[in-house]
Amino acid sequence: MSRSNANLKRRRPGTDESGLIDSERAVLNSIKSKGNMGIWTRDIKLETNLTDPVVSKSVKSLMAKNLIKEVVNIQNKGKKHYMSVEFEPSKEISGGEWYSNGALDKELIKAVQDMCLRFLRAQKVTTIEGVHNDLKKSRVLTFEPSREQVVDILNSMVLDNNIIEVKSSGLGDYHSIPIGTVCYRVASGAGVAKGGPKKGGFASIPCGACPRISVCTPDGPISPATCVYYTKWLNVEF
Amino acid sequence: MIAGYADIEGSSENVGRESFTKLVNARFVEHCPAPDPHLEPPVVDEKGKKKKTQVEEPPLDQRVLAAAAPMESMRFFLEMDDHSEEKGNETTTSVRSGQKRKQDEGELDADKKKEVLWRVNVEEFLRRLRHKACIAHVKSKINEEAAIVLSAMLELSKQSESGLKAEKSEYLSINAIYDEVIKKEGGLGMDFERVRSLLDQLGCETLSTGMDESYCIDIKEIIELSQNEEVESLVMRRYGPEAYRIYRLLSKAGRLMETEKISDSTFVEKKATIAILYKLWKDDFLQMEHVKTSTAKQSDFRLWTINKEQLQKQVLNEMYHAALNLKLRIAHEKDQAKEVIKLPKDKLVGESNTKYVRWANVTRILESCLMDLDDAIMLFHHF
Ligand code: SF4
Repeated sequence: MSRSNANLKRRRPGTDESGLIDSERAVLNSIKSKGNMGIWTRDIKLETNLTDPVVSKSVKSLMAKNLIKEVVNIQNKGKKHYMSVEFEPSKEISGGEWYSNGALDKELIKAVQDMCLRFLRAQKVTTIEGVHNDLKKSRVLTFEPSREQVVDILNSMVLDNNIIEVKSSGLGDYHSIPIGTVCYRVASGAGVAKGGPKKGGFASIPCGACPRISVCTPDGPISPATCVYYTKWLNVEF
Repeated sequence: MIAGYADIEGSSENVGRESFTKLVNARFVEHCPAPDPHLEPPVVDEKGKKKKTQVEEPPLDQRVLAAAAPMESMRFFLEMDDHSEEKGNETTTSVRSGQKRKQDEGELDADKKKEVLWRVNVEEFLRRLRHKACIAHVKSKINEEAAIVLSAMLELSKQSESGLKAEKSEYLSINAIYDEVIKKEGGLGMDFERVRSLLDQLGCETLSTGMDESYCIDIKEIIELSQNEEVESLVMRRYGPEAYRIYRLLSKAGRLMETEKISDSTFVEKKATIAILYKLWKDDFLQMEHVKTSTAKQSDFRLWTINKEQLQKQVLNEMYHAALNLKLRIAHEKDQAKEVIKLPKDKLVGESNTKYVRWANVTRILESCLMDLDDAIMLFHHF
């Protein structure tokens, strides 16, 4: 920062060259010293030995001067944390690349998943690098996804049973992919790419989802004959 | 259990005989076990005490069953004529499976005069149903063509499968598989390359020696995948998609995993992850281990895993319960509609008709659900 003499002359008593009073300087130092981890207001108080009102006043003023920012700590969303503006919250604080403002960015995840699914549908089978390149080329995302992020997304889609992980055999659809490379394809259900989990025999009937199955007996107060779940189910079906 | 078929009269005798031969050929019926099996007495030492053998003996009931079981080659032995002795050997048509023909000739002579008792070969039914379940799984997971290739493989290795729960098929040459595939409906249009690539998609193990290339399929793995799918779908239904993802992650990992890692890998917020894990744990879907460390900043860790075997038992028990419930509900619906069921068709009008139609529909759906549930039960109980 370059300062003119005029500024120096006008400096308030007790302020340093950047125009901060001592308490603000102390608070800023305390916050800065925590780097990308940020610090909780209470800890600032302990570190600086300042009183509550002074700390809050300093924080307010530092915020106004755009020297610090408030960050959400994923570990403890209720506690106000501050960080110096030069830093970006670490993974421990933010929750990772998929978090924004302390919350999982489900919209973003869904959007990227949908894009991946479209690529996979178009190409039948592709590798991590393939998806990564497609994502980069598409320029729909406002950021450049890392390879790890692509892996995260693909893995989550495997867990959702929307795609399946396979190893390339070098034959047929895989002819352009080296043998043994991990690749992905859209999960198919009887030829139609519907994906998602199949409903099992047990899960298709009321008892499969019943919270009372352990107390349900043929002649007891909860029984198949008087079962409200069945009645509702059978009435909906017809 | 049915007695020898010689007493089937007249022209129907031939038809009966033919059908029976077909059933034996297909191994759907087999010889009954011997009614009076001979068990070797236990080896006794001088003091009259039972000698301890190196190998632990199987329990008595199993030993009796083993002794009573007809020899493999005799199980499907069919004498076409009960009076073969008088007519000489040429008239005796034998349909048998297994190679040890010579060896069993002696046993056969001794048994000739005895009346042969037959029974349904449950094992064969179960084996075929097991194959069917595998084919259905592959059809829904990969595609129709892969299912055709798998059914060809199972068909070929059927004869060599011993016991019900064969883990793998035998190694089958690609030529044999191809020949079998093109015999199947829908398999005719497939070329060699297609078959090869499908074998690969099926995850077959390959063995190539010189010119020959053979494949083996892991049957047990397909069954396990179907079992997993059944339990997973239950988790989905009971606990929702996030729990489904978490459960699948743990199921795939097959080891302990820490809460945070689970949350990160499944895109489920940490708090929600903890809530779901506890719910699954409370209902015995998961096992938890609590680890305290003194070094790390965070000193309290919770690790989670699935005990598949125990969980499958639990699910199977609940499925039996559900099957009973379905049956009871079917009976209840029938009871509720008993007046209209008794009515002659022409009296079924207006409200009674509505009631009747409802009963018929409800029963149809309940019965079809029972059938699906039966399939699921078999998956866990028999396969
Ligand atoms: S019959 Fe009804 S109450 Fe009983 S277990 Fe099934 S759904 Fe639950």
